[in-house]
Amino acid sequence: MVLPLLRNTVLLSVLFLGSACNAQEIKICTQAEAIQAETEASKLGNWQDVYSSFKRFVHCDDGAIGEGYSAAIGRMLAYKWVELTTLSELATKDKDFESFVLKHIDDTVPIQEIKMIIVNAQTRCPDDDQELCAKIHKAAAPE
Amino acid sequence: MNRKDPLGLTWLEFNRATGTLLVHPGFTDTQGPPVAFDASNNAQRGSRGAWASGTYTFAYWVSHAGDGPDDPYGSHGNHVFNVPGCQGCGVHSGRQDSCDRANRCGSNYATNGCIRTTDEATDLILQMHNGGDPLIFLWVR
Repeated sequence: MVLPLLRNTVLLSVLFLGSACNAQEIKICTQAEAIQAETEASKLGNWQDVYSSFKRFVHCDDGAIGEGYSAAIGRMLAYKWVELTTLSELATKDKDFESFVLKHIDDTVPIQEIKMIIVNAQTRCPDDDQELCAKIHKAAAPE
Repeated sequence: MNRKDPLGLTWLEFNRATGTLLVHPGFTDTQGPPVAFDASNNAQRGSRGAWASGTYTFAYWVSHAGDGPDDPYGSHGNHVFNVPGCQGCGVHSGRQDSCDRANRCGSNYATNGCIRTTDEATDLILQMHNGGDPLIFLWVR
């Protein structure tokens, strides 16, 4: 009788603590952060800046802010492919960042840039980055 | 449905069936009737989706100074509304001369949840807003 009760108490405690921890992880995007994130997202011009913005504002990645990140990431992969090595280093270090970048190769990236990204991933991939190129290609040409 | 503006302030009406955004001036007696522009709410896959029908109060404007008609938000910034559960959901233009992956172009180009219209519409909204006739809400139907 006591043992099941104790077990349930422990289970409830774990659930409660788990919920509390999750609650702490949810970061609210304030209006000031949303304005700052939206203002800078579409103008980011190198992977280090994209990563810095991601670290500061990933909790704001929604609506027009997300469209701005897609614009910057699409432009980087289409026109600054030579900087792929920097993306590869950051993505290896931080898998959440890799997911963020791949997610933003989306329908709001202009079709002409999508076509360039596909060609870049297929024909200009460094030997060390084959896995990342395959993921980029899959994100750009999902069907 | 008839909606009156008792305060004499600008409001917007997005009709998803007709693909139009009506800009209602605050003072129709002196400023004339509402003006219609092309608009769409083609929220891409994986986004929060299209706006639910209803009324949304204006929250803030992000300028995107220096941007042009083909940039992501167009030439006159993003008018953001209080949309439950969404940060940065607003009305903007942009991608005037571009097509998206699904070959939708101009004001039909995909968004990440926002309503996209023309540069002419956002220009008029901004003129109203800064000219003593502030934007107060958006009605989506």
